[in-house]
This record gives sequence, C-alpha cells and structure tokens, in this order.
Amino acid sequence: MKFLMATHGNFAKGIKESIELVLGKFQNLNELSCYTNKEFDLEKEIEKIINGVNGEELIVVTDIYGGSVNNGFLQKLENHKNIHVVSGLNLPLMIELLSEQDSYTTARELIMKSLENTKDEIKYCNLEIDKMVEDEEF
Amino acid sequence: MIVLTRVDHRLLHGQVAFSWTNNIGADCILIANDDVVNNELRKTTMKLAKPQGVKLVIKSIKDSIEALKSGVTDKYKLFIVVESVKDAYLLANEVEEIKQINLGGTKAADGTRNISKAVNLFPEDETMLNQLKNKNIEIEIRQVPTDSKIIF
Repeated sequence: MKFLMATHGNFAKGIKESIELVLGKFQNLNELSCYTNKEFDLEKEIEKIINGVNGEELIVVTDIYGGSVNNGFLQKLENHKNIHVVSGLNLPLMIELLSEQDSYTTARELIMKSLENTKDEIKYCNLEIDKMVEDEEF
Repeated sequence: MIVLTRVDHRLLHGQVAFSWTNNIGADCILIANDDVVNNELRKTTMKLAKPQGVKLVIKSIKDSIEALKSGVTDKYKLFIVVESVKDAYLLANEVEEIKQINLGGTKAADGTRNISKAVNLFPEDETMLNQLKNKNIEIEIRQVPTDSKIIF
C-alpha cells in the first residue's frame, strides 16, 4: 500500500514534514505539491505516479474536494481500480492512516475507519474546554 | 504493567500522544508531575492532547509512586510521562517495575550539555541517569518510536 498527498502549492510538502516530526519517516509516503512552477503539468505528473505504483494500492489524499488536483485523480478511477482518492487532507487523518495501515487488509477499510475516527478532530476548542470532563482515576 | 516511562519537558503533546501511545499499545497514560496536578490550564491542555480511548491520570510524583506501588495500575498497559530526569529518577528509585526510561526531550538551559537533538542534560541529570543505569535500568534516547534507540 502506498500513500500520496497531493495539494495546491506546498501544503503537501509541508504536511509531510509535520508527519515526519510526529511519526518519523515512511518509505511509502510521497507528496505532490502542484503548480509550484510554471512548467507544472498535472496530467503528466499523475501519469508518472500511476505508472510508478505499478498496480499496487495507492491512497491519494487531496486538499479540496472538487478541486483540480482532486479531479485530476478522480478521472483515473475508472481505469485504475487500485487508486483511492480522499479529500480534506489534514494531519490527524494522515496520522491515523499511516499508523493504522497494517491493521487492515484493504485500503478501502483503512480509509473508511480512519475517516470515521478523525472527522471529529476538527472543532471549536473553546467549546471543548467548557465541557471538559472530570479528572480520571485509576 | 508499565510499558514505558518517558521524559519529555512538554509532557503530553501531539508527538507523544499519537505516536507513542499507539506504538507501545498503551491503554492508560499517567502524567506524574507536581505542577500540572494543581495547574488547571496545563491540565486542560494535557486532556486535549489525550488520544481517544485511552485513560489519562494526572498525579503528583508522591501520589504516582503510591499508586504504582499499590497495584491499582497493574491492570493497565501504562505509559508514564514525566517532565524531567529528576522526576524519572524519583519514580524509578521507588518503583522497581521501571526497567526502561526513554529520554524524549529536555530543554536546553544554562549549564546543560546537549547529548542528542532534543535532549539536554545538567551534570546532576547525568549523575542520576548513571545511577539508574548501574541498577540495570535501560536509558534510551528516542523522540519518536521509529527512531533507532541511542543508549545513554
């Protein structure tokens, strides 16, 4: 199983650094920071990536649902059943995907479970502090 | 059962909470610290960093030692986090079950020696660690679980 984070600009590059700070390096994690130079050709880059994984399962996490990067990969789904596209890239989601990758046999299961476990991580923290639970005991 | 005792001046934060708890399979985190126990704001931030499905207990050093010795913690896979080498030393001297101490991060200050990227020790810290080492306690430096262990 392989992972790719693909974003508008250097978000993907930056979040990869954050992941490495928190979890360490992963051999199977790559990033595609799009449109960072004039010559950038999304179609070509996607082709390169798909050829590179050679049929292995690839989880692509993109920034914006319906954005050009997301759409670029979505167009490949029909002919490449090994590609899985997720949107809404964020650090808790990536941490969950990467640290749980060995717990599931299929990418589909891993993605569904990870989304379920991390959707709740986006919150208005002021409200959380107000409803903070009591101290715990052994 | 104690699965790991870690020294980290930031105590519980993203890196510790996610990667270590998951890697060592802990189901309970004990923050042993004399300040946090009375500092509501610090306590709150610790609670926010706590991974889902894991119990978080915050106790003073003295109360931690008492709890660890009493057996109430035996049923947990316990991950202990302390702020300083001194606190780790106090625990390890009283609690025989501590056989390994992970040095995750200690701040640089006047008089500290930098022994790895994130670990800075005062001479007295080194003395305490050497004493623990002589008691066959493994002292190892790792920021994240996937780093290779550097033995102190």
